[in-house]
Amino acid sequence: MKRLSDKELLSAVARKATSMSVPQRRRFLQAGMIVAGTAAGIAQTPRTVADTLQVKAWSKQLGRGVVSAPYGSPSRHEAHVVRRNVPWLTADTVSSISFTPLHELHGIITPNGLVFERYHAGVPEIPPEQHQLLIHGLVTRPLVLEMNDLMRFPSVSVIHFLECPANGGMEWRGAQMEALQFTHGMISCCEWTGVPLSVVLQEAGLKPEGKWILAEGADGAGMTRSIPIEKALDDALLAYAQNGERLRPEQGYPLRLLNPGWEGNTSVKWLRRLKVGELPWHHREETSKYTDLMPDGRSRRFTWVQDANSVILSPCPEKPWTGMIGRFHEIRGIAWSGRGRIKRVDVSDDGGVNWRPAQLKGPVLSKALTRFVLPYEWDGSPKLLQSRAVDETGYVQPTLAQLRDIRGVESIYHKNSIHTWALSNDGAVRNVQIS
Amino acid sequence: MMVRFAMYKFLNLCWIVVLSAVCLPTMAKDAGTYGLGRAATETDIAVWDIDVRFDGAGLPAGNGNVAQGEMLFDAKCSACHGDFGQGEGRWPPLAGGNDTLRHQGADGRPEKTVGSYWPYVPPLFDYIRRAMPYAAPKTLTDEETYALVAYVLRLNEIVGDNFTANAQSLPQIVMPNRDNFFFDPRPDSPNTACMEDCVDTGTLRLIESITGVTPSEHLGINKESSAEKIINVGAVHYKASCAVCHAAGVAGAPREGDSVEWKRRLQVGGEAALIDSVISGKGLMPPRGGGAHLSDEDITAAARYLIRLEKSN
Repeated sequence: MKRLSDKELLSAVARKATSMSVPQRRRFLQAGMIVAGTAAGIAQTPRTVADTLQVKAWSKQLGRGVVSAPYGSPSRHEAHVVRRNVPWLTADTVSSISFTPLHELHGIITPNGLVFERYHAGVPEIPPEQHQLLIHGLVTRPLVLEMNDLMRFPSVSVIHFLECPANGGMEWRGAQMEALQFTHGMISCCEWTGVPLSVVLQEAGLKPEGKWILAEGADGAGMTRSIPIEKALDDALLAYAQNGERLRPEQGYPLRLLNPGWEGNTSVKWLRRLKVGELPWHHREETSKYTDLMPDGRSRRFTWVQDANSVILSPCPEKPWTGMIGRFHEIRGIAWSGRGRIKRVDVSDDGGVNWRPAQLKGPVLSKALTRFVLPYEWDGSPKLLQSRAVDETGYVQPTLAQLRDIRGVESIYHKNSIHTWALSNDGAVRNVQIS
Repeated sequence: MMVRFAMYKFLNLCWIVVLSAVCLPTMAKDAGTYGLGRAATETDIAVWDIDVRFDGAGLPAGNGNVAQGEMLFDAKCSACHGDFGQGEGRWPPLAGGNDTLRHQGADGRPEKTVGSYWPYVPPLFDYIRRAMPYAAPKTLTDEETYALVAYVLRLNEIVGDNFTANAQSLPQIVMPNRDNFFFDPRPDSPNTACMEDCVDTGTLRLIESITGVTPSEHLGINKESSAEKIINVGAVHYKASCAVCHAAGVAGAPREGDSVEWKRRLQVGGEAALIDSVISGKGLMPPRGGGAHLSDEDITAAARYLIRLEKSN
């Protein structure tokens, strides 16, 4: 058989097609185009008639009416945009964590259905009219507040990230996750609405000797954390709404604590009790967990703040640049700091030897995800892509080697080091570490 | 007349009592700025005030010893934590790990257990009472909790066989790792924002990820529809267009979960015939179940979702 060029094959297919009825032609063209693609050895998916400009079926019929999905749902073509878990990480899913699909998200707000989950005894389903918050201890007026009471207080709405301090923790000892969702997905960013904790503490009559607060959850695990009074009076929030709707059950419905910029575990969900005391409690979650083991065998505790961090979302293992040599790109990513605003993000494509400043896009808010982009022409050669965040305190995101020099490899929490993606000449992206 | 007057006085008194009860918490002189909520009573507080501090503040009355704890542990804890607190599967070990905290990588992993890592004992009582047993938290009595604390300490060889745990004995125990916690000194690991020739390329070493441990199905999700994706799509269409009749069995529609009926229908001509009948309509069901906007692919996905739903019931 004579080998035809792409052009010759396509014009032969077109000639044959003109002598057919419309349905015949459609079938023939589809088959022919596939043959053409295959014969010519075109690497990408063969183009079919469906890809050419023509009036599509959905333009010639009626679609669904209102309230066919009363609460709405994403396009069915986005059904792969979901939280995922790592089954081997924990004994079961009731006390486990799921990961936000950062690579599929745009802007800085995480949709509520995609905010990573962390439970210690599963999600309690709490009727809001039965939920109560007890405030007692070193206060002059111990109070019981119903949800209706809490929602009458002066409210605020703030945009903050929430991050598990174990985010990236699976990579302390080495690169072992092949996907961004698992290397960085224990983070989300939402608009939270509620009443400042300082307002409610004042209502209860905080005594001067009250230096610490025990926050306790109403879930089976009865999660507790000790919060110093300085944080409680600074920016801690009793949150009842998230991105405009009431909290999701997964996020603490009907009431949670939110400690902006601090490790997620302190933002106790399903909050039922605040006890004011003189000393920290040193409970299970602040001694046996959420402490950092150093190389000398000693451990840090009360490691509350999430230091500046960043990661590149495009390209990444889930969003490779396959077939995109030479075209315009934005290297896109997110940065954040628990100590305030992101001041700058730099990007390197040679493993950290040389850096270029990226642009910060959209709102740059304190303790919130901040987008950064770098316009980029990719020549198709392999690259080692990194991003490096600097926050308003001047803190510069450390390299992995710098972090390990101080903290060893058993720290588990607060791994905020510069991350490396290896971009291959075929556009594929691998998670690697540079040491 | 006297009776009426007495009743009048009595009713007035009632009003005063009622008003006081309702309004005092918010009208009291020392009420907060907003007057919201109600005053918590001592009784309210006693029910929820379960926390125990590191120094033993909050420990309740009662006792529990090692022998009692062993029986309870075998019955309620060993399935997850192992007979000797060694842990089962991915469930946490409670005992062992002495002198492992300096292990970093090559020397083996540190084992953080009650004995090797926990700095104080009273929070162990607190945690067991609030969160254990895993499947039935807050069901242990104070005595049972003391007994379990005693046994876990025994498993760690921190107390002897005759130990009794109570509010006096627990705060006195000095745990092996007690003095090894310190306050967070971050920011540490200082970096500088160098822009050019920041690293000697000769020293760079590239380490690839371990393969095979990542649940990475989603890495190829954009290539082709997976079976899971079809099921997800089907669920959307089923719920939007089919469930209105099939969920409740309206007009003779076979219900979700009616395994006998679905099996019967599948036996007639298999899945293909079933899907054909949905597309062209059958009995009282109009073509495409009335969902004129649905493509054949949508109908197929919805039907597969429903059949799968039936199979799993």
